[in-house]
Amino acid sequence: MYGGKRGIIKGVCSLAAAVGIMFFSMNGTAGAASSCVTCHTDEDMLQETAAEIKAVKSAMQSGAG
Amino acid sequence: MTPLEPHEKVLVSEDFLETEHGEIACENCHNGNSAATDKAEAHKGFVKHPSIDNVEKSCGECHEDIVATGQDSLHATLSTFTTILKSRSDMAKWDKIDGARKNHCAGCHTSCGGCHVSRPKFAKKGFINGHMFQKNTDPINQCTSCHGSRVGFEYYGTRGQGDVHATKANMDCIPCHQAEEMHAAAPKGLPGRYHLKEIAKCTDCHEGLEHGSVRDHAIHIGKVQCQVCHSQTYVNCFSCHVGKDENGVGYFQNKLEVEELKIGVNYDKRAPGADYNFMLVRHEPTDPNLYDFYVKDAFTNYDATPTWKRASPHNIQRKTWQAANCNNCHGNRDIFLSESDLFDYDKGANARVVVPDSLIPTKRKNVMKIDIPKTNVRTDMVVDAEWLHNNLGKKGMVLIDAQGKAGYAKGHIKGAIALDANSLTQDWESDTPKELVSHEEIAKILGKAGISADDHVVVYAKDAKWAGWFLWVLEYAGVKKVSFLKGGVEAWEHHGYHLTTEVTKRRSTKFAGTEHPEFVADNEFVAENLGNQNFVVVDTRIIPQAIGLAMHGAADRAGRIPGSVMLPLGTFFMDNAALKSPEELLWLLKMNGVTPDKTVVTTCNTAQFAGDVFFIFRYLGFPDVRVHDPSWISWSAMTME
Repeated sequence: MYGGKRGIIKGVCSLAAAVGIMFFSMNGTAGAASSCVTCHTDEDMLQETAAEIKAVKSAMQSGAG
Repeated sequence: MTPLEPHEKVLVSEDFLETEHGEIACENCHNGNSAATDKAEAHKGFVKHPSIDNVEKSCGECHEDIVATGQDSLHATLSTFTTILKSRSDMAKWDKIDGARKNHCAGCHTSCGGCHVSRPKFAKKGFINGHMFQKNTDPINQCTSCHGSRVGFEYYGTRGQGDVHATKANMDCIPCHQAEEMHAAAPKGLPGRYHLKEIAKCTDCHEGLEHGSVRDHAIHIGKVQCQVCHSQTYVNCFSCHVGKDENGVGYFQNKLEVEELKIGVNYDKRAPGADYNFMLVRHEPTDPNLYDFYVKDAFTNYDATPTWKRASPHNIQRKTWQAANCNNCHGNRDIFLSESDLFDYDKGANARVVVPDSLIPTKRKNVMKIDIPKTNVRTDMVVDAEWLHNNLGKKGMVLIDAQGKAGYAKGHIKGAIALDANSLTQDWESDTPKELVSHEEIAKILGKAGISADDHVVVYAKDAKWAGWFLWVLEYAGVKKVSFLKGGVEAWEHHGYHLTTEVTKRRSTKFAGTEHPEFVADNEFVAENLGNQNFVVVDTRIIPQAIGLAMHGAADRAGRIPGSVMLPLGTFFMDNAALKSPEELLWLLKMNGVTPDKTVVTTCNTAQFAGDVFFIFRYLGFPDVRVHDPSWISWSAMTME
């Protein structure tokens, strides 16, 4: 029932992704080698360093929005 | 949606690194400095939301075609909001109006990331699956994290019965709202979102109904929008104002929210597939003084665009109360928008949406009556604000406030006492968490609070999420006469009665009630009766929990009791503790195979919602109704399926 719309989009996406990855791989460092990955896959370290940003809600707010 | 800890929001899964996106260097999308050895240096120039702030150089590098249209999609630009705002505005003041819009009304736009990687910015962000990219958007953590109070609540049964597409077909958002629609560019000057040519339509799937076997389709298609017959009630909001408080924090105030259903005249037949005469309309809360905090007299053309606008509630059912009988709609002035539904300030804007008497379809003769005997309804189990006002302080009448400690402190009806629900249930750490404490203990607590089994106990709150539960506990404990305040606090204030902060204490007494164990069902009782034709379990949890898409934090697994009927709490109680008519409730239950000749067991996660709904069944006169006190958190721990 939904295959038609999805099929076209899937084809376009796959082709674009393949071309894009080739481009990115030639221009960037592999994710696994970066210091970003070292920190952001280390749950213990993130627990220590990730800062809580508390959203402030005004006391004057009312209703569901 | 479970809140995420700060570290969970940014924790990348090892599995992500094995995916195609994981092979791309982080800084290609996010900038920053991957060679840095400290946090500040690493995040210099960091782009938090590449798909919003850097879309062409991130997502667009590979998904060029999608980004080309997607960056102009309604999700990304909210362009029709601006178009409608401009239609009402004094354009000489547009800069200030647009500034207010940006401060308060533009926060919920999103782009690729908010649908495919993380929770949207508006929903406080955080990866939904360790930065894994997901082709299909997550309905709980993404779609309804923004489209929550209306679409999400309606679809998943926080308000109303839920949507048949979720309960019967297990559909989430995507089968209707596919990429073709989501990624479509909104043409410049698009007059409203319903004008997008790619928009989802019921007829995309439900084709040719006018030639089908359903007589009412043949009669009504082309005259009324599908939702007119197939939606349940939904919420209308009125008179929104925005501003900043003394700390500079922005706020909005919606003055009024009402759950109802209104049919209006279709004033815009140019939208694709919208050539019908009548449609459901929802009130959008734009007030002429909405932006007064920033700019006075902003909307000199306020009447240009109706504030009662086409609605597509996401709470579709095959059978609804307004369509249960011809004359529930025909000749029923109440469900058609009338001038009395309008404020003085929006009469001009909505003149073309109001249905004049001459257009109300006439009552039909010789219609088949709805055969619902309501002779057993216990009408005295519901009282209204006026009755309560006239009976406050009378001997033998006790009023319980079920708003919780903070709500009671903020304001309660004079003479009301507050009871702590936690004192009546077992601790989370016990072997039977949240189940009722012993009858002896309950009797002691009630007696200490000054309640005797012979008192007439009335319970109220702002909604029904605890009030009904207290009524169950009171009846189980042996109180002979209990009542629910229809409309709760809002109805009380609507009548012009006031709230107080003065604390009431009653003199302790002997409770002396007889336990009613027949109002409680344990796991064994439920298990023994599964498959019994005269027995039905009513699951009152929200739909995602009932269909296994989500689960309570204390449950062992997702799922539901086999054969249970999904009727979430919102089926039984409307917003703000308003009640549907007994006829409607009895009809709705009958449509779902729940009839008074059966033993009915209500269940949920912790027996809270089940207790609320117990009250409704007692009110409707069901002779054998029981609350499954162990509920899902206990049932899910058992080995049986």
